[in-house]
Amino acid sequence: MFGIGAREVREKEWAAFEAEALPLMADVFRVANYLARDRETAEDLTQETFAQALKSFHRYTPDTNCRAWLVTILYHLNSKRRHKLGQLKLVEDTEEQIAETVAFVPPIPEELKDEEILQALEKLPKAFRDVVVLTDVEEFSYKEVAEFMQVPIGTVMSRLHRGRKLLRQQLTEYARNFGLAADG
Amino acid sequence: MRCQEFREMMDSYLGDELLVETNHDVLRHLENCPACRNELAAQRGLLAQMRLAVKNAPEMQLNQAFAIKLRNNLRETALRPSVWEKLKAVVLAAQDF
Repeated sequence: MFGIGAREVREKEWAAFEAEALPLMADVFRVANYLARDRETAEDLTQETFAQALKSFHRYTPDTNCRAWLVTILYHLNSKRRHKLGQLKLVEDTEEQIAETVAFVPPIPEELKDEEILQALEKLPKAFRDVVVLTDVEEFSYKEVAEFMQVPIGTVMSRLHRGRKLLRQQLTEYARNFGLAADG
Repeated sequence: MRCQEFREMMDSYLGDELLVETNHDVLRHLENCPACRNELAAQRGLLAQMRLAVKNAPEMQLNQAFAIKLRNNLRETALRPSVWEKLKAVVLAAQDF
């Protein structure tokens, strides 16, 4: 029959994977959902990410940053998917230009609703939104985000800075439209 | 440090990405500048609210049925004997025969 040793090794590896990687499924799905903008694709990406992670788990150093490791795999798979679909593109100049024009940082309006913040986030150009979500929502470091996106750390910093400025501009517009007071 | 300088590096300060020395300059400035303290508090508040809003949004929630199915599929894959193990079992069985 099968060697008992081999079965034990597999069970031990599965236990480690189950303890470290599986609790992060909701986090990976959330990032996948932001990348794919579609639940079905996000679930496919989550599934592929965990299948790949299981195969490569021997390369992961236990008790390090498993969430960042999984998101690195997710980004890689998403790039491959977009490449296949011919969707991979550099940040459009127009997007950079939009952000460049936001020289003034408006004050943050008071009493914002969650839906207003989510809508403002949705309106950001993708390159800026991705960085804002990864750093401000998912709380990855600049270095981690730079590695996921395969861009220099300075690009992450400038996109975050511009993304936050654009977000505040959007929120100020909401506040103006709905007569909310801005502080300052 | 001037207010303008602080505003320019506020993102890095919030991300805990400043050098220790620059961080000290920021803290010294904040101690003496209520306007920048307010600006920082407002930005922190916005980011905290955004973090919760995204994480609690219904469309961002993982479907539990999907999660259970994926876990079971992964478990099955992880515990399945490899081709080599199967081959070894066949060889051992043949030897016994």
